[in-house]
Amino acid sequence: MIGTEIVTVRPNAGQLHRGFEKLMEQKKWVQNLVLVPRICVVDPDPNEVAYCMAIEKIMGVEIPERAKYLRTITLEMSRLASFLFGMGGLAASLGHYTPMYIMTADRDRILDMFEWLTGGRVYHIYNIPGGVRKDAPEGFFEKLEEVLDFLQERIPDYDKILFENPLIVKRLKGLGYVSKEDAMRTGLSGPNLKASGNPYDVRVDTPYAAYPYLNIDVITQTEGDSLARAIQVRMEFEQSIDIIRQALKKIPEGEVKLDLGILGNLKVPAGEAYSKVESSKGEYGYYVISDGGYNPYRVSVRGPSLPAGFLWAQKHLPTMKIDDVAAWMAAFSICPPDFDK
Amino acid sequence: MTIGKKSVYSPITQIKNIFKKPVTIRYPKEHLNVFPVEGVSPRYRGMHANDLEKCIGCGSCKRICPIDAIEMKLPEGKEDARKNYRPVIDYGRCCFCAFCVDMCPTSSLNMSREYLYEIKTPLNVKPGEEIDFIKEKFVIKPDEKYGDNFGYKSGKKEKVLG
Repeated sequence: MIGTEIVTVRPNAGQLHRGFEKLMEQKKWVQNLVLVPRICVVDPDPNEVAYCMAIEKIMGVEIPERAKYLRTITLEMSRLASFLFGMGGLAASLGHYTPMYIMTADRDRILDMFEWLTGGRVYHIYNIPGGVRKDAPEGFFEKLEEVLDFLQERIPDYDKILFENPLIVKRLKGLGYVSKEDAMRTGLSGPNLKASGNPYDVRVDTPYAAYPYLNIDVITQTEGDSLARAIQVRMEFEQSIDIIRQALKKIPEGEVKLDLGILGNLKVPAGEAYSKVESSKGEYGYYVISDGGYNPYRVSVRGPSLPAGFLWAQKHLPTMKIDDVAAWMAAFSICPPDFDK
Repeated sequence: MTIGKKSVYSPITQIKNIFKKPVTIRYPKEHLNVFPVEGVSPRYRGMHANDLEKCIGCGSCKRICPIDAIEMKLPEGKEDARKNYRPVIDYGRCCFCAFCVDMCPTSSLNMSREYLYEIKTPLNVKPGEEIDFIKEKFVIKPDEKYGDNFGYKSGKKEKVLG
């Protein structure tokens, strides 16, 4: 650094939570479900679903319809909670603490819903191989609708206080530009990729859970800077509310899990599978190899923050002012455990 | 999105927030009113409750525990047989995943909605020994203490893991 201007950047991973992948080789298949949500704390469900989907792919089983819808609802709720936290973090990193307080308070309503459905507020551990752990309690869907209505009413307030705020727009405009080709080439995914104009969404391109039955439009921005990424998140927030509403209308009755025997002693047949899930930060991929035993032979995690945290940090941060780094990180929604794993 | 010109009166519109109720609740006096029951949710994963009569000491909970928080211990004055062992949980390690509850074959082990656990360190404990003192207090043998306030339960009909 010279003064407040950055000269060079060298990312140094492995300082937060490391050794996930190695640790998973020593635990049983089901025990790993406690570990995978820790890879992304604010958005834990995509990890659980991706890991369970990989196991189901190797075993060659299809989960019940109701479980698919429940998984979709939890995934989208998790995205909503993560978006609120991300948008609040973006505001806070620019010195606007009011939006952060408002959004953290609104996020709490989603956490309440999670507490009712799964029993835990942050680490839900709700998905198991073969479905979900428990059916939704009575009155849950009605209450969830109320929360969604509340969040929908809040969106104009968010716009006024954050996305149309001249101070924030001026700070974010032109910060950290990524062109359409570069975004694809470096492996960005999720809102970061779509903000550069690439219409790629895992939920649409390779649908999983109940997404094939729902209408999802891929929203894109064209600018490719931090403001476009922030607005992309705001647009996807609105879309997620719509997706949950669609899922709530279509959810069928029936079983929520398959009978796979005693899951504590689950033996997955030898084989390998890759499964991917769209999270609030991008594509989470799990490559799981089984040798037919009680433990996975290898679990490899593809975290969405790796290209932004490693490649773009080295490219963007030099010549940037130190004050802009926090905003740049929040706009890219970088989650450090992703690449520490 | 475009930036429109703001009205001069726009700061004054925020006065309406004075008449709104705050988002926070005054916790020990008030409780959450979101769920059908007052307080935390009916499915909350809190501290364990174990029906010591129903428990058969099989050790399923110990084997599934991902973090080795559970140890099977023999109560004092009992003969050394496997059926007499009972689970003892180290809450310093427990992550409240409730896999032990799901695995319990007799559904004697359940989770309660209690989440507060108070440890008062006596004044005569020296600062250096305080950590060991608290460590010991965190190892609890679950019994019927919280039996009237069940949270996450796993009945025989809705077996999840076992």
